[in-house]
Amino acid sequence: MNGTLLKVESVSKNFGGVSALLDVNVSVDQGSITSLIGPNGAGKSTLFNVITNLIPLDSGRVLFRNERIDHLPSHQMANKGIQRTFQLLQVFKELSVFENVALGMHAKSKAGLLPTIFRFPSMSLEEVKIIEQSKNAIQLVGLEAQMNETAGRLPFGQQKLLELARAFVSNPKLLLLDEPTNGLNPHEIQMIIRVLHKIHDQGIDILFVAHDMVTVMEISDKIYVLNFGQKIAEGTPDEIAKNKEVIKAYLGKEYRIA
Amino acid sequence: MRKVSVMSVKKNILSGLLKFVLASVAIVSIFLFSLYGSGIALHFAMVGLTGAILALGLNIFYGYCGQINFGSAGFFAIGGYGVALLEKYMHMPYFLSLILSVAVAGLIALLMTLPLLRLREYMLALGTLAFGLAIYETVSKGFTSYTGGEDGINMSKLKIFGTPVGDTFFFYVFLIATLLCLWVSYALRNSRTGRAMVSISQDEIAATSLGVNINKYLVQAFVLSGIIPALAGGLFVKWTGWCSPEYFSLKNSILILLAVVVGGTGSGIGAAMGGVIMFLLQEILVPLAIYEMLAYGVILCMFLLFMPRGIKSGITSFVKWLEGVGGR
Repeated sequence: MNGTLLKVESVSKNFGGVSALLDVNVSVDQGSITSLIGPNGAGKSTLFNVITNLIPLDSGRVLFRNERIDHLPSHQMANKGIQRTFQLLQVFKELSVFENVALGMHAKSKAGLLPTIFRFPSMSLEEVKIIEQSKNAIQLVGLEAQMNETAGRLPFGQQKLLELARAFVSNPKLLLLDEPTNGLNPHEIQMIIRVLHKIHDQGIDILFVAHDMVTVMEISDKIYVLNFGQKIAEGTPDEIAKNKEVIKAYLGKEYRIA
Repeated sequence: MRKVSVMSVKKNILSGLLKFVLASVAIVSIFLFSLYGSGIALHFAMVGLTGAILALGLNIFYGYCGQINFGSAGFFAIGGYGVALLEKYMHMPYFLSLILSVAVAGLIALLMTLPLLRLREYMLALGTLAFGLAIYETVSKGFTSYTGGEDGINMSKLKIFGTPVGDTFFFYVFLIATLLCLWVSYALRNSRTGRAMVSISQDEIAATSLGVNINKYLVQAFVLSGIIPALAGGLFVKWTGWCSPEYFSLKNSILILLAVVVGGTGSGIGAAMGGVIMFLLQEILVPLAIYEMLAYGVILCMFLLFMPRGIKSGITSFVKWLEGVGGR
């Protein structure tokens, strides 16, 4: 069962004259937590946007379970089993916590307009399933007390948890997390890490971008390092911590792994 | 913990009782009204309900999906003229012509999405505005030998099994149509489809990444926002007995948009209340003549200042305050 889930093959992307990604190869193995690090502007978020085709790539291929997905419209990624969160929080601020998470189930359900208006039994059954699964996800991130609260009124840390719940509620195969711990206090970071371990145990593989080195070192199976749009290293946390080029480009000479 | 639960049970019973009493009062008063209401009161009720249906139609595209549409009166006209023309030239039975007109409006809405949904915000506003104006100009100035131009088309009295029906019958037809549209709004809002529509108004990129096919839902919403005003048009002209172009001017498109804003975007009940209020105001403000539009401007400003989230939210917070007082 240990195959490759996601494979990014020599992907390049230029914005005008700037190459945001240059011949990048990244792969996510089944059953792993993989992380992507690099200084600001290294192309991490661009890589996420290219994988989900929010930004079309210039050259290269993206394979998900040995199937090309780089030509698919973005909204079909969720159907394939890829969900993501955003660096700048993108919860639906005027919807309730429940509605936000229920929207995460969109790709996993199918009731259309007519079944909705005439309340076909199939639609009602599906709705019950959506409600149940959403409640479970909300419980897992510990927001059950805020279920009917308007999402925009939650504190930042809880909105991060909400966005996470929305992304994993449908049990995707792969979760792309863009800086899930950014701007959080140590307590909230621990909460996120706990949730990540729990959902990984449910069989959801994770590719995530982070600045917070402690988290990256703690939970990653494999780390890729990007700098100026190019991959400069890959390996286990230990290997990365010892890699001279990485230390020079990103971690700084003084960095020590705790 | 126990104390809290007792209090919440008390609150639930209180709000349940309140809802039951309100519903009973509403049903009884509607029944009495339809029996004993004077001609002018029934007239106002019908105009108000027409406004409610129109606002409920627009609410799906504007309130749920957050996309502007200045073309509601265009679809209102398609429903009205559809019924009138089919009666005049094809002698078609009324309810058949109503269904056909509504279907044609849905088809035209579907075709209009091809150019219109490439646009967003101001451009979409202008595109839909052009559509509404094109329909209005067509029925009032073009093909005048068929549409009667400014004179419109006179319609026969509606007969059921050979007996002409009066305002009471129409009142119930309007009421049922309004309740149907309310149901559609409610069923949508509490479903996968409705949530997808609302997510588009909030954040298109996040919606896309969750698998929401934005174009598909905007098409569905726009078609519903064409069908529902067309239904209002078909009912309205048969009731007044006269299909006149003046019902379908740009002013009405703006009024429908205002109704949704005043009622509170995104809620069926709110939009319906907004529709009733704005269309009754239109009747009341007739003596103001050219200053009528000025009055709408003032009303809009007042709402944006004092009740920016619309009447629905205003009432909800008032009821919450009442419940708070009752629970003490």
